[in-house]
Amino acid sequence: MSIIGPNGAGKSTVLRALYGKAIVRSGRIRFQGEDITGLRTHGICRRGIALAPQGRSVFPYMSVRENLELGAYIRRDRAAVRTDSMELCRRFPVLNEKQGMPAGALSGGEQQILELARCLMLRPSMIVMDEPSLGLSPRAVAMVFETLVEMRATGVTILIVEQNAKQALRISDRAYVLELGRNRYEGTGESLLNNVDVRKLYLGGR
Amino acid sequence: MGEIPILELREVTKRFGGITAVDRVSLKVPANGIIGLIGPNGSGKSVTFDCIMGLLQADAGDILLKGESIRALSADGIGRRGIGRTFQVCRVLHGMTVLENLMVMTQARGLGENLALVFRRRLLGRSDAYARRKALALLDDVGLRLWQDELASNLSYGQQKLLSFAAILAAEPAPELILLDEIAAGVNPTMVNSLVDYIRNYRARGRAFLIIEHDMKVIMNICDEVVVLDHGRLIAHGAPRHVQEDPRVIEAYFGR
Repeated sequence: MSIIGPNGAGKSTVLRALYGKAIVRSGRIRFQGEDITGLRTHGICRRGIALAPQGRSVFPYMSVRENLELGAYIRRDRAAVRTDSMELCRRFPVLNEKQGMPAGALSGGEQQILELARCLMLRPSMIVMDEPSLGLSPRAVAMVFETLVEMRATGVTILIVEQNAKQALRISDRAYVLELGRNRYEGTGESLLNNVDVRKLYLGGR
Repeated sequence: MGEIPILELREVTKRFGGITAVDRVSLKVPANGIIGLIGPNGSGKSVTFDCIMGLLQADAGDILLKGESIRALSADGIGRRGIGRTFQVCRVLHGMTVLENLMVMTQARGLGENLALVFRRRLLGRSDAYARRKALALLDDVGLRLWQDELASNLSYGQQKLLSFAAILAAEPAPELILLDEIAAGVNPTMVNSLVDYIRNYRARGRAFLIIEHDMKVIMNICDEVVVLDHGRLIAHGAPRHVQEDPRVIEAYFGR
């Protein structure tokens, strides 16, 4: 599921409300039927929701591998954690190359990939990502979106905010356009991609 | 033509311990040209910018601005010579409103005076009709007019990106060479089209650009030439169309 829209529309704020970093003044947030409005962030994670907020949130002085392992902090199955870590390094070669390096030494785009991998270490039932493709090369963007599609195929629910709106809509079952803090359009990814107004106003179609 | 390029890098090299982040990179930005700098993540693009701007000292090679070496200059010395730059992580003036951020740039004289303006905010209370008009027009163009009195730090990421782009355009005297570091990242695609128009107009008025970008629409639409880095080395350069079809670039960068 994607949330798209102009800058300043409130997209990131919606995500922050979801994971307890913005105060909800009215309305409810429900996850698998449970009201999670106002839950603190660690409570959100314990319910199997992995988070990748916007911008860089790697621990810069810890190694890439340590950052990855922290993603599985609440898991008890240590052997499986190690297997997952190796699998992610295989899937994202840059993590393999630089696994011993401090995460802060990676470039912006590489840190972004590390954050996605860290989310996956939780074996989440839902991933919430704010701009997963931000600052990534086309090849890395393709890798990220491929990974998201694969995750969906294994039953993981994915909620992303994306300015790379066309790519996001192509893989979205459902999408919402926000503007000035309000719902503006909603529909399947495909219907929004084909909506002339949406294309012109939000997708850069001239 | 034979005009001196506004910027030239000659075999610029920058190392961090055992890693060569920039490896004998040479490129030219012609006067009034727009050059794209692309490459996989971690290929040395931002480090190249840092070397040009004097935030980092190159270990070898030379950097020339209008034929004159600037390699040994400090960062503020280089800023004073008419190069503007945006950053991947935006730097806006946090204690000031969106409008004030731009007005400061319009009233720029030298770095020292700018700092004085920042600390003595009351100076901006003086009516400066020109600076205000210019700032408001720019805010309209980048879609930030509604937020003019908002603290710049309260803007979203993409909005801060737009503000820092507008700040470059607001600067007086206008920089002759502008380095843009992923100006489109996090910016709504429809707005990116406006930024592209802006860059084009700016070039028509005699400015030159060196642009780091992953958004290929931007690169294809405005760059005269594209330079490709991979692991710190220059692996290809030429017209955007040719570079896009270069097998080495496809392998390293597009991954098709």
